Amino acid sequence: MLNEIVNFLNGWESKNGFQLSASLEGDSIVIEESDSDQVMSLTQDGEQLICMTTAIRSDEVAPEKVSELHDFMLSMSLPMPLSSFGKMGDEYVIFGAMHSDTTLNNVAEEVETLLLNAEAMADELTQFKGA
Amino acid sequence: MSLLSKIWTSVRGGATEAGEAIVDSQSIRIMEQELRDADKDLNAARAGLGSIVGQVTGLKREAADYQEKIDNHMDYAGQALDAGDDALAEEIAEKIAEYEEELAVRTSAIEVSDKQANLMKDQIRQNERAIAKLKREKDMIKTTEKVQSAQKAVAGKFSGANSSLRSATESLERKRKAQIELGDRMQADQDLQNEEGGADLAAKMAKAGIGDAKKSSKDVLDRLRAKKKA
Repeated sequence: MLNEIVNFLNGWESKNGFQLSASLEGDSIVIEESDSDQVMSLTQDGEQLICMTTAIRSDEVAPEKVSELHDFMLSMSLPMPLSSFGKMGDEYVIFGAMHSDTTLNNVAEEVETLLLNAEAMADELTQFKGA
Repeated sequence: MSLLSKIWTSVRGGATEAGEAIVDSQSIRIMEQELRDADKDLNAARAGLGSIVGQVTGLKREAADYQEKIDNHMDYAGQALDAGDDALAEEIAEKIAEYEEELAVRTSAIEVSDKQANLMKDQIRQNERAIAKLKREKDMIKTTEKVQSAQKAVAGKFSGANSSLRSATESLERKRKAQIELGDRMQADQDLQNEEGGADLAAKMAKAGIGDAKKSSKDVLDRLRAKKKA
């Protein structure tokens, strides 16, 4: 399935002007968007596909704003369409999940939604950055 | 430490080193054994429940039979009494008493079995929940391993000078810098164009003899002649 997704994403014509470039690295797909420079991963875990991108790293955040950042992320996870905030090690991530049974079109749209959310949130997250 | 705590420790710590498991193998073995035991208990409880339910069904059928006999014999006893046959009525009454004893035994057994069945149903529900919890923890371990592996894949692809994962905020900053630089370049080009355009224009004006045109020797002589005439 991952190979199919790679091929589909590479040929995908985005309605939002995104230019996706996907490659299979091990058992994960790495997706780059050329205009925003954004990078994301897509992996299959049993019955779900999980798409994820790093929103901000811990070392970018001003120490005195960490608590406020967490408040922001918890609050914004709900209204953010199809995506949620999470934390893996030193990275605050935005991720979305869908059933493995889904269509390739849905996968591409989920990837785009994640990109749009990441772009929108990146702007908001700059207020928490350190010097 | 619970399995969930171990998963949290792993997620907090970031992607594991190659070969290092999210949760130690001992914990995994314990979890898998617990799953097997819980499955076994669940199957035994379901079989036990099935057996009790079967017993209760049989008992209820027998109880119903005895009740029917009691009802019928009460009728017969009544008829015997009506016929004045007390001896027969007494015999029938003895039979009724036997049937009532049998019914009482079965009614009591049904009550006990019903209580047992309810206990087993509770047990089954608890087992099912325990199994669901263990399976969920197993799935969470798998998911954690998968996403950490995905992160490593992204980091591995872009390793080198920028070995840490590129964040959305960094991408935005880069994009904005690039836009500013592009804007500056375009402005510089425009300025250059204006300058060159200005030089061109000055040259054209000079050719047409307009504006601060280059002074020629002819102009100087003409002015001198004019002065002399004056």
